[in-house]
Amino acid sequence: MNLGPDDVLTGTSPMFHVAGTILLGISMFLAGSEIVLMSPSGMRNPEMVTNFWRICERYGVTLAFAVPTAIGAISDVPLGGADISSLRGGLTGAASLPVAVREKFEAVTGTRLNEIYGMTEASGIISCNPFEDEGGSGSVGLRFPYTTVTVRRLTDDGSLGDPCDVGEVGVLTVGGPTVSPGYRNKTQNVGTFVDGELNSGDLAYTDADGRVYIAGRSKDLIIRSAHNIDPLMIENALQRHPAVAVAAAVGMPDSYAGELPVCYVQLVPGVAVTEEELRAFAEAEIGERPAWPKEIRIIDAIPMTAVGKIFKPSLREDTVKRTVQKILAERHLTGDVVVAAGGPRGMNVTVTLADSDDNNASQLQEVLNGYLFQATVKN
Amino acid sequence: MTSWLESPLRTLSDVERFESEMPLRQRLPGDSVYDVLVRAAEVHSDRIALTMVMTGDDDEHPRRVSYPELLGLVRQTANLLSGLGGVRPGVAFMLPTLIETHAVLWAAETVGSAVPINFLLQPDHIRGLLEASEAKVLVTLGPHPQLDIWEKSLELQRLMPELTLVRVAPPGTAPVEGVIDYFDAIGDQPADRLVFDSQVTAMMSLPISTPVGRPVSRSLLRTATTAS
Repeated sequence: MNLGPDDVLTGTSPMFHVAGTILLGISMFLAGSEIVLMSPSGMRNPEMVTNFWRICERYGVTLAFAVPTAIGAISDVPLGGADISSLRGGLTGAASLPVAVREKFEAVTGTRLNEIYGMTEASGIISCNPFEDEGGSGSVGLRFPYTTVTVRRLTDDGSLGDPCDVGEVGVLTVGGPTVSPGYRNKTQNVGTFVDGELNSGDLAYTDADGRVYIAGRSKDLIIRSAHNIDPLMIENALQRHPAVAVAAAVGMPDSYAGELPVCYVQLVPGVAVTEEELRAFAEAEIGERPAWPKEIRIIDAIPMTAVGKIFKPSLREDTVKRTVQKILAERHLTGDVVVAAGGPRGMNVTVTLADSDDNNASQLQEVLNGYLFQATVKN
Repeated sequence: MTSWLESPLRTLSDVERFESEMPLRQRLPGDSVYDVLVRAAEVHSDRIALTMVMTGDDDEHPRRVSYPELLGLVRQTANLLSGLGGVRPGVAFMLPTLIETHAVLWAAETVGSAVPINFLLQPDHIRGLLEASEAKVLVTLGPHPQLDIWEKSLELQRLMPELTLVRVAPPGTAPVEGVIDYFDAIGDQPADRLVFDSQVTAMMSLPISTPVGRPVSRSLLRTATTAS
């Protein structure tokens, strides 16, 4: 990143997060850079979004850091005459960056947006693209000095195997002095800290120049009849639609395919578009037919974590709840459906039928047993 | 460190050359976060470390803190914390992004270990994190029109009577019995030195947690080994 005493970064991350403390903290102090703390509540404060470019001009910001959703929001704000010639680029991380968001940022600022790849367990940063280098778009760049990255094959029993070849997708592992010695509760180290290496849980590959590309979060993959669908492919496609502010794809339960891809969409304020139009757009953009979203749902706001990562578990719960409610309606049943993450199958569904009998309940139980979630039907 | 500017790393072979020139420890200005701040205050004595923007309006006059001023705030805060939590205490904080948050975080790492808490979590969940990290002190935000950090802190104090509460609140806020006022208390502390023996290795426990459910894990970070 080549940070120095001439650099000024936007401090947009909360200070209970690794980005707000290590990158936008001790790294800046090592380099003698300045952090502009963007209000006590960061980019959750709408003034920070609308005034972003003016703040950049006034304090001579050289690197604009924000999580991808916030980068998307500021890229929708016109410069409005702000002189941002001090800016040498943008930095983002903590979640996957949709291609369209990068394109929008780069078009607005005329500078490059680089992705940082990192994890708390590796003290924040694992890799990033150098700003001085033109290549590497779409990658998370080169490993940081003294940090090692190895993409490993998964063996049949699910453990980590030999390193992959260039271009071959595997699980990314990290080593070096920035990797934590482990969790405080050592029982949680199993599977994460393996032989001195950190298992990131991310799928990745490298190119011939040693750049790292993240192919998806292994647990976020949508698995449709054993066909692995990367949600990013769907999200990138929908983010290219001008009416779409945020897109989040998850698997919806299906008794035949296991999961089917669906996509939740939050629109740019004041713009109208139908779910049907978005579906046609997505199908034209996505080459891989099994990845075409079965449903697109426009919702007021995509749920976010405190750091601004899309919070997919609540979307997954919503797909499960809607699926079960649909089954009830088809069988002319009414009842209360409660969905909670957890349990051996990842999702627990409890249906309490109203005005029904044991026969209906046991038939419904049988139908629900055909799904990947755990179901309990009560009468 | 300024030599990094003269030879930016562009390729993997640049990275490898950089590693072969010297070991990481030699590139770092000391053993701890405190050493980094001491060195920054010397080398970048005229530089601004932190600027606190509240609105971003053109007529705003934000508070700006230089590197030497930041070091002073960290020393005062560390001196205060060293008297509250015993030897190498765990210091938790529930604060939005403020200059004081930086002072508390780096001071906590200077006296013991820092436990940053996501204040959007519920008190029961936070209690679990405080117990697992063995935090003795909780630095928190006073009453606020939009944030319920203060209410959560009082609930935590009720659940964990042994927890020492330090409150960051605007000067003039009415005192509360059994709660230490941050600004009053650091005013009594020297800014030019540490008053305790700082044989420290900086450690930070970052509770890794989701907005719902239980904490899944927490890690110890050797922050002093993180290069920018």
